[in-house]
Amino acid sequence: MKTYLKTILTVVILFVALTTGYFLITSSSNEKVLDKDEAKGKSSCCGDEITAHSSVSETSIYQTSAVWRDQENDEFMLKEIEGKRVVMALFFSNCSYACPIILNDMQKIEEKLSDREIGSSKFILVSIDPDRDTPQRLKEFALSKKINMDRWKLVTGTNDDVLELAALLGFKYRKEDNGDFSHTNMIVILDSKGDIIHTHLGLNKDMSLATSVFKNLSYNQ
Amino acid sequence: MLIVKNILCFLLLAIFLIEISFAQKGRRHSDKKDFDGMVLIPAGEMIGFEKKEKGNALVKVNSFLIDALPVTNEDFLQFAKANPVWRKNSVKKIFADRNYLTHWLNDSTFGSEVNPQSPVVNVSWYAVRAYAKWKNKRLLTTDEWEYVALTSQKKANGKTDDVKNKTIIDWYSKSGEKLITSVGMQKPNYYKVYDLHGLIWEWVADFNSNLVTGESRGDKSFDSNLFCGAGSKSFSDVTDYASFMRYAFRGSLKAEYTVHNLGFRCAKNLDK
Repeated sequence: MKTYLKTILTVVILFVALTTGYFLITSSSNEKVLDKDEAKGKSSCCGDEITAHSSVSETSIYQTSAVWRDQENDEFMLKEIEGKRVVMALFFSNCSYACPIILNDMQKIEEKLSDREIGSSKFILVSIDPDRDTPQRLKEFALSKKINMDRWKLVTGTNDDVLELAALLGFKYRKEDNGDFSHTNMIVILDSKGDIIHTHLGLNKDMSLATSVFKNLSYNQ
Repeated sequence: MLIVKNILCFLLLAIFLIEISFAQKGRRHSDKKDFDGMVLIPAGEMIGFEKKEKGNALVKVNSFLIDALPVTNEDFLQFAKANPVWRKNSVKKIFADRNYLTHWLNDSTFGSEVNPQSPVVNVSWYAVRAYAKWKNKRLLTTDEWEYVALTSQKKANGKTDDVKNKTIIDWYSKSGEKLITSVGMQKPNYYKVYDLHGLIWEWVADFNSNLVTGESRGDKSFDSNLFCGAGSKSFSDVTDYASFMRYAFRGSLKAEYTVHNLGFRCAKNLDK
């Protein structure tokens, strides 16, 4: 009888030990990182931001909501230049080799324009170096390069907005260890609606195609 | 007889205690990593994939949080529902090509053919970036992704782990299979991050930072007329074929592209 009780006791202990142990192990492993965060109750942050500006096309880069600062420290959004023909490039003012040539190539287009054509044209330089290119620094740069700020804008923004604009234009860049940037050498021509009409790649190349494409674009006066 | 039973009871008690201690260990482990589905990656450094002028460059990575799992169809559907401009049929052409969410049935459901728990694919860079913002997160940088992906199951630096490298190459060599596997089914890596390899390729924030134009591993044809760069680009370890494939793949992407095996996960900075 005694041994019978002992056997029952052993079985019970065995059962309790195993089930408790199993429970403890599974309950702890269920808590691991697999529980995914729920998206409930969050407001839509980025949807309406990017809704198309009513008059621009579906392929217009003016659909971005990025707010830039120009060389006068005024806010600037790309859609403000809607209606104009635009020559645009990404650059950084500390760039000693390529960017001065890019600027020079843009000015080659500018030189070929008549007074009437110039009134409908905008030239935009967007800095990829927001940390160093403050509006003040951009203004100094513009003055030193004798840039006509009636029709030129030099703008700076957030790294995130630069990344987006670079993606829109197909521009590749990367910050190097010395603080300078490796980047595509590229000038982009936009029509009055903000569609990319022509991309000019390289440095010191013949600008005649880019210039004639630009001159032939329609615009709103 | 009695002695045998006593020994038996003692053994059972020992097993019981060991189980408890294991369970508690596991619990402490998961407490430490309770970041709402994210995992803490400690700061560190690795040898950069690309060679710099002075030889192999050391890339520093700050600590950050990473999603343990890739974003799933179900996750992305909630995003699309809350943000109409990112729905399958209303996305703007400039932000996604025509294959955007092509495996989904329509705007409000992905249909019964699609596993809700498999990683979402056919999504553009603009879309995944908007998703990350909506979640108050961000995309990983290339360096961060490679840093976490460097690990094998056991080691923080799995670069010399032949089994891991072989597995990745085997997976890269068979693309195009229909994606039905759920996330989190493979073994996690050293940091308890799942599915970095084996299911999908992943978008990174700076996918467009790769300025190498050529296609061969010994590429010296960095075109200084097209790109303004500090030095010529070549790679630190030409045997690291898997890394090279990822760099080449990222370099070929444009932000509006959607690809049938390209998905994403998010990261977040640590609250200071």
